[in-house]
Amino acid sequence: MALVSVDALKAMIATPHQLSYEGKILTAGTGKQDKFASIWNKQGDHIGANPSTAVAPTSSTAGAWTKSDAGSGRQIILGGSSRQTNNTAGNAGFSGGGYSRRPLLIIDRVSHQGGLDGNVNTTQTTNFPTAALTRYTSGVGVMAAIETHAAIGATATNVTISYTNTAGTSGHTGVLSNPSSSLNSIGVFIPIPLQAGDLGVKSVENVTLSAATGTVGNWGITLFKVVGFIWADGDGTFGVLENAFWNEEILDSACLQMLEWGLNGGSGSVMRHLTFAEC
Amino acid sequence: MAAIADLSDYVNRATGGNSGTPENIFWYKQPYIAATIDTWAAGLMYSMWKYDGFPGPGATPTTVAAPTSSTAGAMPFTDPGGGRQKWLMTAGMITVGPNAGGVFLYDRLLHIGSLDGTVTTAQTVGGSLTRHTGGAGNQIWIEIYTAVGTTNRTITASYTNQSGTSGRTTQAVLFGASAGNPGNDANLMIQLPLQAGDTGVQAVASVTISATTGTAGNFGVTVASPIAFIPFDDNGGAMRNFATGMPGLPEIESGACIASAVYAMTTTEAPVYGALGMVEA
Repeated sequence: MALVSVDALKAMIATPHQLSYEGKILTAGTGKQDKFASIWNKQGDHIGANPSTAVAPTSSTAGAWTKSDAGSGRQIILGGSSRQTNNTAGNAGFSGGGYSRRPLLIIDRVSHQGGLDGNVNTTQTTNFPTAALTRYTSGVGVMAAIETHAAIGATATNVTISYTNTAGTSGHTGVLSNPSSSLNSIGVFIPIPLQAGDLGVKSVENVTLSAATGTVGNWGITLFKVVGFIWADGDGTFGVLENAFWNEEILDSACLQMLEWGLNGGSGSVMRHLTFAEC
Repeated sequence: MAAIADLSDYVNRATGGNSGTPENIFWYKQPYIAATIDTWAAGLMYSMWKYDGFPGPGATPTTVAAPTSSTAGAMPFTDPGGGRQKWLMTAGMITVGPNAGGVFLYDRLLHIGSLDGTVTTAQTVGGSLTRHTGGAGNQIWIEIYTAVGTTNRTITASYTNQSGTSGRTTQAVLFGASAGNPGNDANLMIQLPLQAGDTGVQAVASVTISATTGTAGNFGVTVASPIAFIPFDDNGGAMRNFATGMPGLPEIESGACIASAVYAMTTTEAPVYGALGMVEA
């Protein structure tokens, strides 16, 4: 059921159906500058484990943002009204940091795996294929990203995935061009471009690095769907009408997490809160 | 087709009421083409049509064609149903600041490639628009697919304006050269200003280079209907909320081939991540 008016919107903001908080300690890493970083396994609230075998995480998986399911015949939408306290005066306990006061992504983490080796340049099939999608099962809008769980080496490399597209055609390839040593920081999260004509990913079958990076590390492939793209202005606040995705439905079993945008390679502590509306 | 009555109706439709059918797109483009970086020069506009990303890249056009939302490279969206129109509510983007100045979001109405940077006679464009056929607001862009020569020349187009008057001529702009003014690089987009008094384009008959640039390369003509320009701040963030700012909600026509170009502020290339929120009315 939709919000019927501006007054209903105001009421939702004033008395949100759900309010959820998350605080995280973010570690430094020059490789995180100017790209998205996953805070899935960072110290703080909702700590996720590094994935190994392929699984399809849900709202009950450790690391997922806390929320309740929608009532019968209703749906949860992201209400916005969030805030970060990174570097903001008057918020004791949250300070410093090189993380974004800019748009950040809220994703539904639909499938993940890990245990990949950063020091081989042959095709890796360990813990593949990725687990079958249980949400967004058509694959439309589902993207694949490389996620670094333990630092790999600094040698530049491209990452090629072999995947199955939304039409069920396997053997399509996507290449992430990475001429710099930008994958070697823990938490780096970079979407992988798709083959021409493709609109999403159902599964990934294997990956290949173009060069060994020098360190085994631990990295994996995460399939995700963007459900929120939220604007944070200079003082770290942002409102419901400024959210590009403020009306996106959040599926009951969604495994929600945030991706932070690194303005520099610094560390810091951040706190976010999300409001969810049920309508 | 119905107008959005007021802000309450907007909220209602944007949350799925009154057949609003809200739809969101998340997309990104990296400055690589088939895993090879596309070098930038500061102060120029670069097409992201062929850039790697999500959705996958578009192809270099050959003969004249009118691309649609189902053409590889176009941002995917669902056409409005029930006689409704589709409107852009919000656009949010992020890049590496201050490398990129902004993103030009447009409906790619018509394109052609395989034009030659050494031919000094008129090169035929032709074709027919299938959207925005009245021409109002349509623009003509030169798009370079393979570098043309390093000799600075000018280029013009002969076109039919929004009133149906053929034989109109764009103002001459620089074309070619090794760097700047405006350069010869692949993926550059160069807008051709219309003849005085004109406000749109129904068709492009041909383009003519003043003299050879020295290298054939491969360039083309793209007719674009602007949707929005999204400026970045110094840190690379951008947000346009069309409900609370002029000029109001841009329409996304059924079948639109939504494409993008990025304005380079420096010589350091940068990816662009973007989000579009749409609603029907």
